[in-house]
Amino acid sequence: MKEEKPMIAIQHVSFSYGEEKVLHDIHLEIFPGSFVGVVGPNGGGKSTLLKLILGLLPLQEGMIKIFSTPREYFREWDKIGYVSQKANAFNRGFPATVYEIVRSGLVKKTGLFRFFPKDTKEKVLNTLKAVDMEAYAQRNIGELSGGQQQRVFIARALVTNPQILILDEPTVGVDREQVESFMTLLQKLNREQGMTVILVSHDWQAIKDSLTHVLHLNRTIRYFGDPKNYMEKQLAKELPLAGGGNVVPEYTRI
Amino acid sequence: MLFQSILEYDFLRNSFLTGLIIGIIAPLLGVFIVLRRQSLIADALSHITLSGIAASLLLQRYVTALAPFNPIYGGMIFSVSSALLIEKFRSLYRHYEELAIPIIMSFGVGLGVVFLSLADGFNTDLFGYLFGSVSAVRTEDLHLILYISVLVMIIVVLLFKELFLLAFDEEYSIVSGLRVRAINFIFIILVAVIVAISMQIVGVLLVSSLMTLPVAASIRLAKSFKSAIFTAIAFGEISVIGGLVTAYYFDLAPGGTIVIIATLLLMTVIVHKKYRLRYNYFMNKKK
Repeated sequence: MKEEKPMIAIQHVSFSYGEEKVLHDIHLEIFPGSFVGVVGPNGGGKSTLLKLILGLLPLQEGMIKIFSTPREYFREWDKIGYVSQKANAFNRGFPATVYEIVRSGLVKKTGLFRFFPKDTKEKVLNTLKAVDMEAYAQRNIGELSGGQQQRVFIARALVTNPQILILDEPTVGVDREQVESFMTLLQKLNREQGMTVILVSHDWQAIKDSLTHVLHLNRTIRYFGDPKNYMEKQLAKELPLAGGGNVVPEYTRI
Repeated sequence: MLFQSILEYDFLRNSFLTGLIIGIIAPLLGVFIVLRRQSLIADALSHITLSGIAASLLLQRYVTALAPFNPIYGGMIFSVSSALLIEKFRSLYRHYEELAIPIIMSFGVGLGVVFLSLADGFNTDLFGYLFGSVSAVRTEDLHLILYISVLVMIIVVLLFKELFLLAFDEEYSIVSGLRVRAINFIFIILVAVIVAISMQIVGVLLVSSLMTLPVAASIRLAKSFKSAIFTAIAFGEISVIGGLVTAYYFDLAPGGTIVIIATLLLMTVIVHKKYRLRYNYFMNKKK
């Protein structure tokens, strides 16, 4: 059993859109250094769970603690980097350079009515270097390929030096080769810098080797634990990837 | 000759200075409005400003003490209060956010027409409010416009990074912990105030064009956000100056001439961009 405190503790969380219950009694803890892959069928509540963690949806039942603070009172959002599903669907005609977009990750940290501090340029360029996009700093975001844009959004999430990186289907519409190098980048952040990563993805093949934990959601937790064990269960047909099948009885605390 | 007249006549000087100020501030706000896909908000606010002006004209008929006040104040009160209403409607109709705009717009025109009928105000004054006028600005109005514009500009500069983030990615702004509602609220009030003060030169019906046309042209050219803003302001200034000069010489309503010049600029940019793309394609092929 680990002694560290969980970074994120989700306690008996349920959520409904109107009459439809999307999440039922979700209870789990995520510890520092984990790389959690969130998988499961469409409508299984993956994005909803992320949105609940990030405060994009109101909590209806249960509690979420981030760094031991209940979400409602949590203010240090710069400790969490977020790359949304929508990052792919941004307005491509938006007149902004890669530099301007990555810098916007520092808005909250800088504070209201203040200008960006002097070391901002250095910070932004260093972050762009970390994702191999330094050469594109002055390029318009709309001119880049899907994979490059994704790296820019990762850079925006990383520029505050977050301890947790949350990504919601970041590789949709990105070609296979770029997905691989994207996963290598995430793996590097997780293993070398100890960053906790939570990644929602449909692409099991692409993510499976990077994960320390798998969270299979289909309105309830169907599985939470070791990826090897998960694959064995899948092979034994105890747990199909999309819907149906047997339910893994209880959540696993790791 | 025009410059001599500008030096000679206060009203002309005031109009030109007001035009220069509006040519900066309207496109500056316009960049955020257009990129947030809220282009019609300025339209809705300008229509409600009309009813504010009509209400002022009506009041002035009955309360003589109010006569020296420019109806712009009434316009501003209506514009700011309806900006707040728009925000309210947007939260009421979460899935039909754009519905707030036609609600306010039709109410604005309806109310305006009723007030104007009551005030018997369908006269030449009204023409100026609807389509702009070269001679509508008194020195005290110019001062008011200047103070308000400087204040608005300071607020925009102070909130610049937040407004950029909101325009580019609202969801990310919320996740960052930004006070999105408060910033939206401040921004729409700024727009309402600028709509009301721009109306003297451009006119109620055309005021939104100065917030959208220069921006429509600039975002086709600009690679960065900063350059989008500066280009939009440059286009705004060219349109205002060109429009006022033309209006003066040909005795036309400046609202119309300003909008026509802004549209011509936009068309030039579109054509230029199209041919430059073709040229580049051709040159690349040749290589």
